[in-house]
Amino acid sequence: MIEAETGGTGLKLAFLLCLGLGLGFGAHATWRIASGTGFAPDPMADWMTPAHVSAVFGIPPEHVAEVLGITGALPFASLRDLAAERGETSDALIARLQAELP
Amino acid sequence: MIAEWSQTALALVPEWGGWLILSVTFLSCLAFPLPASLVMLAGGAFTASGDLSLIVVAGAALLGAVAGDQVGYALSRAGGGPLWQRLAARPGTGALMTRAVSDLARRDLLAVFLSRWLFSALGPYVNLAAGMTRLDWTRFTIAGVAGEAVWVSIYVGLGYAFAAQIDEIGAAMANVAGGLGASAVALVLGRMLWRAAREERDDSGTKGEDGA
Repeated sequence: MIEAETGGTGLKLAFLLCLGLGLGFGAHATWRIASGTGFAPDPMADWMTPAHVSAVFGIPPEHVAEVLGITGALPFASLRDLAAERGETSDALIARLQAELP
Repeated sequence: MIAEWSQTALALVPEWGGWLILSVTFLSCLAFPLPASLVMLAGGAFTASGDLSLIVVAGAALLGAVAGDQVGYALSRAGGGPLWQRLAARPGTGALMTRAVSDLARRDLLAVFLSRWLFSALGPYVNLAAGMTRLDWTRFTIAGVAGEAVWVSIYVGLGYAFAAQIDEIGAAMANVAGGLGASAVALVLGRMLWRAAREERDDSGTKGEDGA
């Protein structure tokens, strides 16, 4: 009987916890949508590739290639890897690309 | 803002391509806390920019997810029997759990299908429960593959359509998935508690009548 009651208390606590989490996540999602903070464009980041930067930020591919010193097609590599190859920081590479923003 | 470790995972997508997407979805279906949704969104975005092919992204994500489900099911089917017998034998909660599992068995196709995408936070645990209680493998696989196809289509599709807002979409989807998962568990637990309270009331009513 005591064990059954302990199990019941555990279930009630788990129920309340899940209910609270469900309401919390729901309220947070609603707040993001209602406040208009959701769906803002992402800032330029070092996980992005040159082609992704070109497509998302509207910088022509030839400008991206010029800024990154690439000849030929844009490589499928992250800005982080490209910066490491050149021995410079991702931030410096991103700053140069941001200067090309239309 | 995407967390630093998630950015690191995303920066690995161009390096490892489909293999990374496959590995992350595989491990996430075994309950490893990896940013599978974010990686699929990024895969969709890289498809939109022409870096990756849609077949590679969607195929790798689907293959990884289905393989993860199968491994979770097989492991718990092979080794979870004694654990389940111990849990089911516990006084009080054992009876409630047995009933919850028989409910799951009655709606196995729907439960497995919905836990792949709508209540995706519960997916790995449904795999374990399904294997432990020896849910029919064919039905598990059919519902699992169909559900994972929906999951992959939603996230890769969103990444493709909203390539400029991966961060925001990822955060919004995490809230939605977390909220739906927690609400689903609350619903199941609430139903179990309500049934237990009703049975207790019926029992005390019967005892009262016997005493009279």
